[in-house]
Amino acid sequence: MSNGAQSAAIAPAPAVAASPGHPRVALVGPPNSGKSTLFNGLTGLRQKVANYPGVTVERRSGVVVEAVGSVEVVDLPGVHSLSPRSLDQRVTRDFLTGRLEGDTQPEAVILVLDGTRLKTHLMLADPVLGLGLPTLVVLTMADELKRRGGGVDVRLLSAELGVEVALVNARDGASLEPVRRFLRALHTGGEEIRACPVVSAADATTAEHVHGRALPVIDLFAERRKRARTLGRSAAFRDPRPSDVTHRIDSMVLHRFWGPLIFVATIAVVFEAIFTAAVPLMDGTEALVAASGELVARTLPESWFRSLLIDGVWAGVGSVVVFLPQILILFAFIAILEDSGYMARAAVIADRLMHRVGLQGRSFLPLLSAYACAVPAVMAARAVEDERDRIATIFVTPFMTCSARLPVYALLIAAFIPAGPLIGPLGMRAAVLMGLYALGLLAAIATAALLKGTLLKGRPHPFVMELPPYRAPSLRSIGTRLLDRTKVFLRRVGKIILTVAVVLWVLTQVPGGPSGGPPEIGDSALGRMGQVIEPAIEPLGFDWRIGIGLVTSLAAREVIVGTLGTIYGVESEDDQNFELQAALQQDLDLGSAVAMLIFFVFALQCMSTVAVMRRETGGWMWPALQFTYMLVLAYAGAWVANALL
Amino acid sequence: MRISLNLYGDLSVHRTITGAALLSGGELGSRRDSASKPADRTLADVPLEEEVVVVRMEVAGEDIEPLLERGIVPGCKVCPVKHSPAGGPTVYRVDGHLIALRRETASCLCVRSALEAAGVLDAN
Repeated sequence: MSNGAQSAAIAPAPAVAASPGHPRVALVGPPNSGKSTLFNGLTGLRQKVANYPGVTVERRSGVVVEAVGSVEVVDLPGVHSLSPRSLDQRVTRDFLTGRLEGDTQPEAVILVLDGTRLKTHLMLADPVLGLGLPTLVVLTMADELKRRGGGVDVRLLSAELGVEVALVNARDGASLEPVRRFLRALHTGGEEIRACPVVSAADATTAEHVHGRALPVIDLFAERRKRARTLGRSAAFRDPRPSDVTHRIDSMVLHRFWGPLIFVATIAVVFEAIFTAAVPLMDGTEALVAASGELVARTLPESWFRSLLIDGVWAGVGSVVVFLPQILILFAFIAILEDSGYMARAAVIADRLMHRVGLQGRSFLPLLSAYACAVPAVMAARAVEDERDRIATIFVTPFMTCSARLPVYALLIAAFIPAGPLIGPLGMRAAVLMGLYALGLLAAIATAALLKGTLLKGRPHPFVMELPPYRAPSLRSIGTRLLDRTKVFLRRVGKIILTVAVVLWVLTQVPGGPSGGPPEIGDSALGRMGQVIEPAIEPLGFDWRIGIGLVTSLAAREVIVGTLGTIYGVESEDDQNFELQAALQQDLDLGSAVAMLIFFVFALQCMSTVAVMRRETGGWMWPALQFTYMLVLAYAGAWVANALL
Repeated sequence: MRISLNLYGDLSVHRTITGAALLSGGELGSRRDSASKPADRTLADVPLEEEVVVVRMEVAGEDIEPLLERGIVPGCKVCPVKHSPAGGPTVYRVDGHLIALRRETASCLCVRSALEAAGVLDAN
């Protein structure tokens, strides 16, 4: 898989590869201005997601093919100004000014502004035009502006700004013609690309600001807002009426009583989807992985290579690919909730609760995602603007019960917890499962509070959340995002899982057994490792077999189930779980089984998460601290459980 | 008389010892303060659906930028439209779009009623 990802980056994917001949155009605009919709509309599926060199900000680019030549369009992170407060903003500014390592300054800029919010969004015009690059100003949401009784004279605005202005519906391909004309002009040298003359003193000040000599910030923005007003007036801009639909939906969604109910119902639907609806798809994927593995096993002759492929690559990568349907369903929900505008409201509703434990409303989305998988959750934490809040959010996501823990919980609960009822319809087993989920959540809350009281202590930053008007999400945009996320997920996770799977496989193969074949599991390097750590895990009630499982589960938690299957020499596929339960009952008692459950609640046994953490926090400090902290908690928790029961 | 020019032209920034950046409504604002002393309210005290004008922002350091960037600057009109459940952030209409602020942030924004401000400032 990692090979696939690499070759995709190296091989000349003809429509996407950025050949040096393409002029590059940067798409810049505030968040929610329709920038990504425009980007999708222009580039279709000819897109590529990579990271800017050295930083975790995603670089989305695509190629627009026109008869006169191709243009590479780079979709920059949404910003309200060019001041470099966050990483996203810094990347945007550095890219535009040509200071970003590995990228040269773009040949031209498309400034995307929400046509219904020109009064505020025009504040970005001066800093961007001040760059002196050929610029096209695109005003989006033309239909909404008209429907709500607003209007703007594009020609007047163009005259006032000194650059071309186009009013478009980003979802309507035909209305993008002026944008395409601008892109063509980059090849033909048409008059659309005249560079921006510096037209006002405000431009000059903002240009200075861009080049690092900051003015007092309030002055600057007051000046910009005044200029935006003047521009709006000269361009006969009429404010649209506030959206009735949005007002009506908000009075429900933010209602004192209905609001929290809708919020909880939304979470319930997402949970139901990722835990129930995803099951057939996951079973299907699992069957597909197993079938393809068998096919490979049958076609290849018995050799170490076949063993590596089947027991290493297929088993390791397969264990992660199985989660893809679930993660896709989660992403689909997130995309719908975000594009419709509800996610911003959910963040507002969650803010009070989250604020109390030291997080904020924007942390809600990553924490919800973490119930499927911590990897996308850590990436989703980018939406948390405040750096301390973002780190705290990332730090606690692995405590949320991800789906990789479920197979382990299921195995141990089935083997050791009696099936009888506890209270009313609530069975013992269900109660234990819920208890494990609750324990993870509690640990997350306590850890967040602890962090914000110590390492990440500081004055709380203001929570400023924009609530975009409700809009029907477009299938195309959701589809593009799913594709995008899938690629990123598989690339990130694929590499690490593949590596760990291969390393583990090697450890089970050396040193060679007496007959020249692979050794007994107990004699292999992995088995020895299990025996070496046995004294350390003995107080928890675990023997070396479980020890091996704990070592292999460092790759991914659910790997332990497969490993234990191998160790106990369970051959029959059909009865695997049943026989494994019986075998485990020989080795563990109730105390050590519960200890193991608790160990899995707390421990950070997931290399993919650690890898993503390192990327997103820009170093090893946070992942190392997190790994140690969670390990200590897991060990202590398991020890207490084993001692008490 | 176009007083708005005064507001924007004479904007001045004072940095207090605590590091908080205070923005006054300029010369004119202070003169009026001393003359008739209308007790400035903060945005957190404004009842729903009453439109007010921001006259001063007492937000420290860089924290002010997220507000400024989204159009919450001295002179802008703000109207609380909805409280969120259980004392969470309140939703305000600023220049026709919606922004949610926590109470503690809203209480850093000094405001005057739109009517009153219209007499002194041309808020638009």
